[in-house]
Parts: sequence; structure tokens; C-alpha cells
Amino acid sequence: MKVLKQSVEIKKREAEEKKQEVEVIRTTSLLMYTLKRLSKNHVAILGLGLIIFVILVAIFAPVLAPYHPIKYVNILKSMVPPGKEYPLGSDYLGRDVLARIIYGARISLMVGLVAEMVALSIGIIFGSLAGYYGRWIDQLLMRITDIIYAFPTVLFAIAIMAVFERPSITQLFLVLGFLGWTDIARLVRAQFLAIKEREYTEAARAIGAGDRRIIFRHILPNCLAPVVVATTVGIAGNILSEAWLSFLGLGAQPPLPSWGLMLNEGQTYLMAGKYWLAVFPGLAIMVTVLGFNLFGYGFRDAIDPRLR
Amino acid sequence: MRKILLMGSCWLLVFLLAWGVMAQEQFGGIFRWPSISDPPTLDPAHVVDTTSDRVVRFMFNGLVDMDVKTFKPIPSLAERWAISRDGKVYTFYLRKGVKFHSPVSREVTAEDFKYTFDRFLNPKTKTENTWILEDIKGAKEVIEGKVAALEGVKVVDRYTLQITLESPFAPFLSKIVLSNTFVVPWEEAEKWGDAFTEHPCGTGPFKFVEWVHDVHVKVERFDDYFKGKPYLEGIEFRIIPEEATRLAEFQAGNLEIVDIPFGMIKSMQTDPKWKDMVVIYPMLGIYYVGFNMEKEPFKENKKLRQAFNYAVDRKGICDVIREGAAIPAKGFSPPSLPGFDPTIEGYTYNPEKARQLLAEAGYPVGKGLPPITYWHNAPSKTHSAIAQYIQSNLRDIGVNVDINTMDWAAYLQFCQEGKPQMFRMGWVADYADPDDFLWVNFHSANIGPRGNYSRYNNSRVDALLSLAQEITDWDQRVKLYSEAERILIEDAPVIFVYWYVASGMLQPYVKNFEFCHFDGQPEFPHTPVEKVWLAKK
Amino acid sequence: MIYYILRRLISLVVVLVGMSLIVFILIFVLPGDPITAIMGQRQDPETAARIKAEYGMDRSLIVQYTKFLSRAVRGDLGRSYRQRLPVIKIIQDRFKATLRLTLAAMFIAIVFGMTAGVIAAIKQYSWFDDLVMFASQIGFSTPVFYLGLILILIFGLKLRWFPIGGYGRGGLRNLVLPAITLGTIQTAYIAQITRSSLLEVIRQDFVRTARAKGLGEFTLIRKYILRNALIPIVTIIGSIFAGLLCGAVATEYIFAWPGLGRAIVEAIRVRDLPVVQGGVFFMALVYVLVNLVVDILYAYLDPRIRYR
Repeated sequence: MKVLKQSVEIKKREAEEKKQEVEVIRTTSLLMYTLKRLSKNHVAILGLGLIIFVILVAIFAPVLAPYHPIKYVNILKSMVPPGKEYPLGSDYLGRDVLARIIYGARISLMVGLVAEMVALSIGIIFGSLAGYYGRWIDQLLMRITDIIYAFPTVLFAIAIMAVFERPSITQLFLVLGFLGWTDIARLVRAQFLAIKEREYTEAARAIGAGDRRIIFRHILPNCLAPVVVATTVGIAGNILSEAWLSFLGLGAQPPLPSWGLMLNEGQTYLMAGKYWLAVFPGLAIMVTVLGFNLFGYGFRDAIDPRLR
Repeated sequence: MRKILLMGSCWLLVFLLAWGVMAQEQFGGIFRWPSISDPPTLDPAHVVDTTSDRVVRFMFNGLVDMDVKTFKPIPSLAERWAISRDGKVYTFYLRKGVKFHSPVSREVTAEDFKYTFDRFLNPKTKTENTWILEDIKGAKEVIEGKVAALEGVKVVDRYTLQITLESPFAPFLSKIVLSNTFVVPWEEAEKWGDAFTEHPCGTGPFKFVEWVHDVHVKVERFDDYFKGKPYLEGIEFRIIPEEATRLAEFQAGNLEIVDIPFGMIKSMQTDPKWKDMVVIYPMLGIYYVGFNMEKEPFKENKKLRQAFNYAVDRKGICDVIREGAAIPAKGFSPPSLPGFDPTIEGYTYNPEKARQLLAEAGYPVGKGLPPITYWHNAPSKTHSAIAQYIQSNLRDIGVNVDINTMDWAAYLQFCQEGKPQMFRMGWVADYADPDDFLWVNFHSANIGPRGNYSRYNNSRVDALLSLAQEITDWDQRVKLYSEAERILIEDAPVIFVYWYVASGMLQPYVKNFEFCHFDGQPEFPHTPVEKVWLAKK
Repeated sequence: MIYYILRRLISLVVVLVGMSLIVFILIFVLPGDPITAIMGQRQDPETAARIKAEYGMDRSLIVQYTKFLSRAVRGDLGRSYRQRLPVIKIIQDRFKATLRLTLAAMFIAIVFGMTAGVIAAIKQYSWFDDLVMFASQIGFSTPVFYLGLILILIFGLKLRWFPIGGYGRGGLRNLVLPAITLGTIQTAYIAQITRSSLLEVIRQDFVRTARAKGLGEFTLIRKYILRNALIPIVTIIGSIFAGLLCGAVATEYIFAWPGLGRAIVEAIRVRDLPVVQGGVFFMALVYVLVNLVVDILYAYLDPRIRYR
């Protein structure tokens, strides 16, 4: 009985939405339509809010942080629990945990964004080439994609770090970017394959449109929405990966206040009861990644209403 | 009145009896010993780390052993020995009736030692630490594969072994305390070849039972041990990589001994439940930050190196980061090393003097300094914390250094090739002689992979150290090492940071566990396990 | 069908060979070698060179790689430099541990994930549905190692209910915390996919028809809805399983679980090439095989795929 009632409800809602959709499609392009639906999605708005919050914290770090995250070292005030002096406690060198978390936002955001830019560039090129030319080029590029997809991140990170001899955040951009483009490539390729076959492509060719025009006018704009989703989710993934690599000692180097690095240092002191060194940076990671995920998934829901 | 006296004396008697019984050594029990990692090998020839060393010492013996208190060589399978006047010929008189474990089960003779030594240097064995026996005459030829037998090792008769060195080498006896030279039976070694590590057979107090990789190594009592039947029934060497888990197991009563995890020493020392089980003592090791003497800006700038030494707050590092389990280093050789000179003054924490020296070095307030990178190996909480603290100490006098890290495997090669300007290193004694500290780390012949990572080259120091190697008079040697140490401190090829302190916890019912202050936790390889007994119900 | 399988098998071989070559080159290029690492701080360079020659490490890249390949095809993956054990044995032992952990995590994920997903789908738009969606988002945003640390803190240290790590005697108690850690995030995935897949099926016309014909609720769910919804769910479970087997490294690290992932990372650290090579090879093999099985299953269940 419940299921029946429910499916009736669903049908009703869908009919409503369809009406709205038709309205919207008549007047705007896919992008505008998506944006409009997005504004109605509370969860996505929350995500966007979190993202903006973190970005603001990163930008205004010098104003917000009570002490300098690196330079303020006070060995006598080592491991002070959260309280009046240090809002979130102090670490083993007497540095302020809150200040380090605030400045850590800069590192996480930077890595997340830049790495994703790298991944985006590679992904779009690969996907376009594979989708457009098809046949053996497609097969070859897809095999490469498979290899990269299954490749262990850690090994690659160690290799890049060693090759450069002076490990730094720059390496992280490369590692994460070089390993993170597979999803985008697959998306772009799928779009290419799909649209290549469509009738309006034939029509466009018939009237003499060259390859470039077809690509830039028809195919790429359709990629935009799913790629945006993949990018946001990708940034979230990069932040998590940075935390993991820094945790392993393969990412940001001390004394940088990377959240992953702080988790690494915090783990040791967990047993000794000094929980604040690990708990708070982890929360910071969660909040930031949550923001990007909520927004990304919200965006996806906005594109494809059936999934909601 | 008399009744009370009678009662009293009866109770006293009972009490004394009980106390006497309780203090009596008991046979039986399994000692559960934790390990940080799976031992890479159980073949004495291949021992390069303390984990393997500990397990090998359960099962094997050599010519000499180490006195737990003085670190000096004492008789083991060699009953006594004689050294020729020129210091080149050592004659060892072996104990009779020492048996190998089954399946060999026969008496050890001088032939066995010859076989062991020849095998050790044979290139087919692929031994890593060939430097242990390189002083013997003919060693080079065997290492290169030109001959199979050492010219300098002679079997005089069944129980007499004579070793001739290339040139007199005073610390030779201390060197062969190392378990690499412990005797192996040729029957088993030839039968198994490279796989001897999976079927170890020796003369030690315990014999091999099983090895489940990454889980445990089990050994059981060898009744015919030459020093007498060991008390323990067996030892279970449990591999537990996580320090927190090791501690938890100890506290649950599943381990008899344990090392204390990073950051927990103070809490264990103050917790009434555990504090009486804590053992802490200075060890033979030093933590230092080396300068590359062949690179700018440390090359030929003594004042700069001295400035850095005055800038570091050793007390802060020892008291806070190491929680008191470290001793600020005044020089290089640690206090418990035989021959230590207590009159030597070292560097203190003096930022004013550091700034002054910095200016005299040509870089007032750090102006004009080229970029400097402080390297250390990762992952390590200690190295990271100390690096960051030293970085802030240096910042206080105006010097900015970057910190960078590398995996141990790559880091070692990196340092061997002389690439870093400043690098963190430690040195723990291989054998208890000042030669092991000063000659290995600072003689110019050892620049590079042989141990002198600072690439320090001082002809006066070279001469002092070489001479001290050859002469046999102990007091003379101490004087030479003292002088060398003073020059080293003045030259400051490294930042002397702290001397190691070992710490651990021992269950109260473990008796007669002698800690040798040569050892670190949790292996304590030189503790004679045949003497240990458990006072359990 | 056969043709399909054959094609996939060929691409499997290509991927494996490609992967092993890249891994080999990377380790080769990495500074530091296992012999130097073993010999430690005081070593004789001539001895080092001699030992390396004995192991054949002084030959060129091509020679070494060819040797490796020729042995690998015969099933001999060499011996570990560090432990001198055959690599196959090491992989066997460590993989057993990883498998245990993965199966336990999958069990938790499937049981809780599917239940939550089904209930959420049935009660769509209710508070439970929203809760599940939000909870799964938080699940995606939590770094695995952070979750592990928190669980250790609460259940291992404060409450002392479970041991904080290690394989122990192979009992169940040691498995709980790591399995929960690993399984939680997968629960989120499975819940989401179950929910959306079920919803998609519920909306189908044939469901309406079946209901109109008077079919009872449970029969409906059991016979029609679940069966059809299962297809994408099975696919996801398959690829999660494959991914977990390869990627449980973080959990293995935190809980000192003697799994294959951790073994590979540690082998990389000490440049134990045979173990890295063999381990990555094995992982890739498992990953691709599981995916292959899933794909075949998918093709079998959904005839539409076969005729692409």
C-alpha cells in the first residue's frame, strides 16, 4: 500500500516538475536551467556556503589567526590543552593549533584547485582526442586511462618526490593532477561519442561546418555541466589525497601547517591523551571536503532531476 | 611470655622460608618479547640491525661476549686468549664440550670457527658487514673472491684458534663481540645455503622452533647449553609494529618487556600503577646534525659552525621534545663510553654568543647567507619536531633554514654522495670503543659511505685516531682520543645535539634481567637471557 | 559473448604489462637502493657493489625488466631483498589479511548500506531519506585515516572496548575497528546507489502495471523491483570490492594491519623492488579480474549491453 501511494506521489511531483521544465527550457540554455534549479536545492546552497566560508578563512588568515602558525614557537608552552591561552590548544613546539588550522586552509585549497586544473587540462585533451578520432586512437588512449586509473597513488607520489629531490607542494599538484584526470577524460569522451552520432552534427556538416566549430560550439558546451560536477568532486578528492599524502610524509613538509601533516603529528600524541592535535585538523578537512561534495552533488542533481 | 617468643620465632621461620622460596629461581615460563619489525634475517652473518641481533643472540654464541656492566669483552666460547706483543696475533683457547643444537648435535671445534669466518667474507654469502673482519690478514683476497680461505685464521689444534691481523688493531676483541661472527655449523650452512636464515642452528641457550613471518619467532630451551640449563622454557618474539599496541599488550600482561611510545615517558613515570616498572638509562649513542665540510657556507667557516652550535637549545629538546629521555651533548663520545673525558667543556645554549660569532663569520644577523636546507629522513616524529625547533632557534639569531625530508633509503645515498649542506644523523655504538665513535665518523679515510658523512678532513685528528688504533696501552689511547675529541669540538663539523637515553618497562615478576647500557629498546640484545627467570604462580 | 570476454582479456594483458613497465621504470629511477638501505650507515662501497652484482642489480634497465618478465610469466616473482622470502609467499600471506579486512568491511557496507538505501527509497522525501543522504555525504567527506583515528580514540583508548590495532591472534576483536573504518565510507556509496537505483525502477511503467494487476507489496519488491535494481548495485559493489582490495592502505596503516597495501608501501620505502613489482602486479591483476567478472555479470544480467 505504501509503495503504491508513494509512486502516485512521485508521479504527481514529476508532472509538476515537467511543467516547470518545459517552461524553463523554452526560455534558457542548459546552464541557466541548471543554475535555476540549483538555487532551489538547499543542500547545494549549504555546500556553496561552506566553500565560500573556507575560502574567506584562507584569504583573511593573517587577520583571523591569533598567533603566527610557524614562527611563534614557545617550547615552554608545549602541549597546552584548549583553553584561554590557546583556543584549540598548542602543539609539541608550543605553536597555536587554531592558527595552523586557519593557515592550513590555504594549502588545502591551493592544492585542491591547482591539481584539479592540471587534471582538467589533461582530461579534456585526452577525452576529446579519444572521442573525436575514435577507433584505435580511442582504444589506445582508453588503455592508458585504465592504467592510470588503477595506478597506486602512493608509489607515484614517492617517485615524483624523489625525482625532484626537494619535495614541496608543487610536486603534489603534479602527482594529483597526473593521476586525477581519468574521470574527466571519460566524461568528455562519452559526450564526444554521443554527440558525434547525433543528427544535428550531420546537419551541421552538411552545411559545411568544420571540425573545430562542431567541437567548440556543440560538443564542449554539453560537457560543461557534468565536467563541473566532476571538477568539484575532484577538488574534494584532491584535498583528501593531499591529507593522505602529507600524512604519509609525501606531501607538504614541516613546518607547513598542512592539515594532513597535522593529523600525522597528532596521531602520535593521541595515545598520550593529547587529542586536540589530531581531532581539530580532521574536522577542518571534513568541513571543507563536505562543502565541495555537497555542492558538486547538488549540481548533479540540478542537471538531472530524475536522480533526486 | 615464652609462648609468645615461640610463636614469634615460628612465624619468623615461616616467613624466612617463604621469602627464601620466593627468591629462589624458578624454572619455566615463556618470555614474550615484542619486536618492531620482522627480523630481516636469522643468519648471524647477515645481521645488520638490532632486531636480528637480538634473536640471533638467543640461538648463537661466539668467541667472546660483552660484560653487561663494563662493556668489555669476556670469555664466551673462548675460555681465554693471548695477544702477542706486537698486537697482531690473537690465540684463542676454546671451551671444551660446547654442543650445537640438533640436528647437528656435535661438539664445537676451532675448525668450525675457521669455517664461519671464511664463510663470512666469502662473496657468495653476500655479507653486508664485511668491515667487521677486514682487519684479518688475507681478508681482502677472500672478499674479492680470489681465495676461499683466510690466510690469517689458523687452526692450531682441535681447541685452539689463531688469528693474525694485517696490522695491530686494538679494538679487535671488541669488534668480534658482534654477533656476525658467531659460530655456525658447516653441515647446516652448506645444506641450506641462502636459506640458512630459515633454519638457524647454533650453540645458544635457546634453539629455533618456528618463524611465522610478520607474526612471531619462537625458540625453546636448549638443555645442553654450555653455561647450564636456562630457566626460561622458551621465548616468543612477537612482531608488533605499532608502538601503541605494544604498550597496550604490555599493560594487559601479554608481554614481559616493552619500549615506551613517543610522548608517553612522562605519563608512565608519574602513573603510580606503572612507574616502578620503568627502566631508564643513558645509552651509547649520539644525535647530531652534520655540516657538509665540502660545501658552502660551512666549508672553512669554523665560526659559522660554532655559532650554530651555540644557537641550539639542547635543554628544550631534551626536556620537552624527548621528555627527559635524552642528555644534552657536550661532545661526540657519550659519557658511558669507556675512555670518556669528563673534563671536556662543550657548547652551551648562548644565543648572544651565537649572534656574535655569526657576525664574525661574515654574516651579521644572517645577512648574506646563501640558502641553507636542513635535511632529515622521514617519517619520524622526533626528527621532524627537532628539525622544526632547531629551525626556530636559528631563526632567533637571524638564520633562516628550510627543512626537507627523504625516505631512509634515498636519504642514506643522498648523504653518502655528500649532497646535503646540513643533515640529521645519529650514531649508535657497534662496539664499545672510542674508535667506533671517532674513527668511523671523522677519519678522512671514511669520507662517504664508510661513515664520515660530514666529510671532515683534519690531518692532526687523522694521525691521532690512526695511532690510537694501533697501540695497545689503554691509558695512552684514552689520552689520544681525548685530544682528538677536543679538536673536534673546536672545529664543530656537526651540531652536537643530545646523547641517547634508553627507556622501557619490565614486568615486576621478571627476575635477573640485567640491562646492558649498551643496548636500546625494545631489543636489549646483550642481556643474557639464560639468567632470566619468571616469578609467576 | 565469448568475443566480448576475449576482448576484455586482451586489454587486461595490455594494462598489466603497461603497469608493470611503468612501476619498474619508476623504481629504477628512484634514488636509493635496497642494498644500501640494508647495509646501513657504515658500509664498504666495494662490498656493496659486489652484493649488487650478485643480485644482478648492476645490469641495464632493459635487461633487468626482461628478466623479470620472463620469470613472471612462469609464475616466479623473485625474492624480496629485505626478507629473502619468495615474493609469492609474501603476497599470499599479506593478501589473506587484506582479504579478511575487505570482506568484513564489504559485509558491513552491504548490510547497512542496502538496508538504509532501501528504506530511504521507500520513504522518499521523508526525514529518514534526508538523513541518509546527508549522512552519506559526510561519509564521503571523511578521510579514512581520520575516521580510524577517531574510532581508536573513542573505542580503543577511552572505552577500551577493542584493541587499537594489529592482527592479534587473528580473532574477531582486532577486525572490528578496522572493518568499521573501511566499511563506513562504502556504506555511504552503497546506500546512495541502492536508493537511486531503486527509485529509478519504482518509477518504471511496468511497476505501475504490476500494481494495477493487483500484485502484493512484498512480492512486487522482491520479484521485480529488487532484481532490476540489483544490476547497477552489483556493478558498484564489484568495483568497490576491487578498489578496496587495492586501496585499503590507509586503514592498514592506522591499525597496523598486515595487509598487502601496507606491505607495498613499506617495500617502496626500502626500495624492495621485487615486492613492489610483484605486489602492484598482483593488485592490478585482482583489480582488473574483479572488474572483468563484474562486467561479464553485468552483460549477462542485462542483455542490452552485449550487443554494443
